Amino acid sequence: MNLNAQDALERILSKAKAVGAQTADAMFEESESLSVEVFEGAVKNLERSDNVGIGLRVLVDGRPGYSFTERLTEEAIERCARDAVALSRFTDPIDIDLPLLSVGASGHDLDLIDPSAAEWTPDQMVMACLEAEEEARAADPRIHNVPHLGTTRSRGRMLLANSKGFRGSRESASVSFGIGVVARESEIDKMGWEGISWRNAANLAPKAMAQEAVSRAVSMLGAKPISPGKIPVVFDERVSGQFLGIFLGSFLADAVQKGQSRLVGKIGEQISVAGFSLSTQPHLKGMSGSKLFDGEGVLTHPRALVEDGVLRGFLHNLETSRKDGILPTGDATRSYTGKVSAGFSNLMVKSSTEVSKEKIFCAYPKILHVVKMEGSTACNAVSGDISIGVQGYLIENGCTIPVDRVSLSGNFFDILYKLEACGDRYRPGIHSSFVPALVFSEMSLAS
Amino acid sequence: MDAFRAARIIDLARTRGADFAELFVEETQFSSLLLRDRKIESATAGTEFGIGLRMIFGSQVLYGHTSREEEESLFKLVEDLAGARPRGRSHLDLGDPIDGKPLPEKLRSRAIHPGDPMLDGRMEAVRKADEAARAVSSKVAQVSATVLHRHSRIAIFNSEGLDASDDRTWTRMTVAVVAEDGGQRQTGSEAPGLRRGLEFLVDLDVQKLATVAADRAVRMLTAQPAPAGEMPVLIGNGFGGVIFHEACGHPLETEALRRKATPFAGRIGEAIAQPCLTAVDDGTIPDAWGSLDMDDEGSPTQKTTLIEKGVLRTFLSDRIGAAECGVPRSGSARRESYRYAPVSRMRNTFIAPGESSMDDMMRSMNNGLWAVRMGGGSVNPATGEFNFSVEEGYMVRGGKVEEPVRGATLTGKGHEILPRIRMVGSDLEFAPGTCGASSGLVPVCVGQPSILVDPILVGGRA
Repeated sequence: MNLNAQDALERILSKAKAVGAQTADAMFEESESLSVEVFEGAVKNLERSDNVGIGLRVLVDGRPGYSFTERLTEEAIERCARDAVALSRFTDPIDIDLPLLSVGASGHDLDLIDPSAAEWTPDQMVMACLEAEEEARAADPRIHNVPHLGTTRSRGRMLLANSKGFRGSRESASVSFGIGVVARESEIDKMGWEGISWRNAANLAPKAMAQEAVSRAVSMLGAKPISPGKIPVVFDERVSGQFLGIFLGSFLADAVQKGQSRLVGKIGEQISVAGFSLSTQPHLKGMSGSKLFDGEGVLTHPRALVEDGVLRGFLHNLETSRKDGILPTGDATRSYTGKVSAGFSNLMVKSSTEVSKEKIFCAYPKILHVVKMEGSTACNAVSGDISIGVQGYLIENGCTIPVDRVSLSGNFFDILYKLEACGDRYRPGIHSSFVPALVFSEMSLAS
Repeated sequence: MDAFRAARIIDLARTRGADFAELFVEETQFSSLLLRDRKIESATAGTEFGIGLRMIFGSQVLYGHTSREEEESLFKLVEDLAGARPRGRSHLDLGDPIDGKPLPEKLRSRAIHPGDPMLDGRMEAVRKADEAARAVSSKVAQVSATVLHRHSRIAIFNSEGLDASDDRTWTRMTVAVVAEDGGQRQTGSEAPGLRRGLEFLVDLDVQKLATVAADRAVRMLTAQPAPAGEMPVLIGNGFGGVIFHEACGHPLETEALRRKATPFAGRIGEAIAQPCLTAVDDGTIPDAWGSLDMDDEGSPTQKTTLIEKGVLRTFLSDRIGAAECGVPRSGSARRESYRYAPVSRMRNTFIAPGESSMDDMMRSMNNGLWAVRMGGGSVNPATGEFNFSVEEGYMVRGGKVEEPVRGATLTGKGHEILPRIRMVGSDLEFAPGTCGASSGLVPVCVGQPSILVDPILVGGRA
């Protein structure tokens, strides 16, 4: 018989102590979702998922051991506790103090759940897909296929507890809709995507999203390479977060402490243009990365890592903050299957020069507007070397032509100084990456 | 889960109108050990457990899964799925039942013991990798080494009376090395794995593995930025097969054909490549990382020839894909776990060895790029566009290998590149990998001999 969430957490912590752990923390997660996929006017797939799991970290003489189980029976939980303690003898010690304070009565409301999300019925979900497909096919005769079309509603719950008495929980729910269309002209296929998540279905606009996907696909027809050389580049807000994301590992204290970051020893120094700021924002209302406490139970707070171009700090968990001799910062990330790491809650980028994309396009005689990146594996996250295939538009003297089969190169830490402006908006919906369009004065383009 | 309880759940699904119903029961034990920065950073063990229920109505697939094994939870799952099912019904003949016949003994993978997560052999392996890599050069700045082990027991029951079970074990070691010199950093990695228990480590030459990875990282420190443009490229054996996997393998799955998202639709029997090219997907290679004894619908696995001397022969199919697309079943239904409905996926996919020697290919290439070792990449299966990075590459001039280059990417479209594979070498090698698609992450091998592609677009630094 399965134990409920609270009982399972209490049982695993007490069992861990009984078999030799001095301290321990445990995370319980459960999630439920329903998703529908439509192809050519008919439902192809309907999926319902229901997951539970509990993950344990023990410390035995400072040595961590990790285990998890998706079986929540008494026997499975006991085995999990014994495994974690047994595994701790392999690892090297770490120095951490688990937090004492419980969260829950803080009165903060992050709006992570809207009960109406659960009221979105399977029939309504199918209808949204059918409308979107019809809209997409009617929007342009060159739409040749709609291979990806689906919608999901999901909800989840997380509870964290430790042997010092910390107890915290978080619940969330969301709906999402995505469409991918293929436009064909002269035997050439181009794909256009749109996908957005919200807290409830009222905000979803399937027809508008279908039109957006169509216009993205159609506008790329006839794309070709342009001549190589140096060129100003604007990364659209659709991809700017993904682009920055390749290199953000350099802001992890763990990477810095292990010498795997070029930002080592640079706190207090200028690393980008004045006016540029980059921060972690855990308290944004309703966003995916929003949280009151982190993966180790430390209270979160908004914090700038780069302020006016100056490096102010790194992302820490308990282990790395102790090593650096600073107070815990509340950036720990964790899932029930994994070990503790660190990350942005919600990443936010701002610049003192925020302008609309239209103004950006007009401000340069020639600029490459990047809307799609194709694999980042030739980029080096540690050295900052950029070598990345992109698609987008060349905007030159008011004319726009689609561009593909080109690649951009440079170095991330160099181009931070070439940031000339930011766009004035973030991409819509709920997510955890608030990065506006980024304009760099110059990158190298190869074709 | 016993056969009687499974039958009661399947019966309820049939009563609710399903043409076909199936239960997939899985319990998987994981363990991993990670060394980084000379320390054992984590040791983890875990149990994944759940039951997947699939109900097919015509060509509509309903799938649900739960970690709760009480009968009431499963009855509720049937009712929830049946209740959520949209109206309307198509017809699809699923064809003959799966007979569940086991694979012949000589083709089966053999794990000596499923693996004790406490076995200390892993500690020695990761420590040895760290020492061996650091011994290569003082420029080695960082080493990480992991041993991952997974043991899965699955059972499949369906409404045609199938009652099949399987025991699957995988073990893999990865070594990643970062070399540094005057602000320049390069990485090298090796990651062998087999369908074996932890005894895999006993036969593994960890010293050599770590040395190869470290050597590559150090060697690439002196590399110059790669030039850009169209040129002939000699793609190295082993992991080089990742391009064929991504750009041609995925479009040859019925999962792509079902969505009309493949340039190969309607081309069976046509020449889509040069006569030097034969490509195979084989699930029957004993102990290989992507091998199966049976697939995740209970069908015996197979060796499937996809392209024979340049001519497209068939697609990789699961049961629904075969029925909908009118191609033979290939026993390729796969899923990461009980959380996913099975779809057609690759197993060990490779370009068969040809007759060209390295010298011939170098001479024929004359001036171009030798991509000895590929890194990762991505592909859009609906349009065929791909983009891969070169982890270790050299310029070739006048048929002679010259300086190492870094930052090169290979881009193009799978179906356009295929006919440009002009020469195929004889040095076939396999490399294990993890392939992600709609039914999750599954272990596969990619493989090929060295091949000459002429031309292909190389993205580098301007």
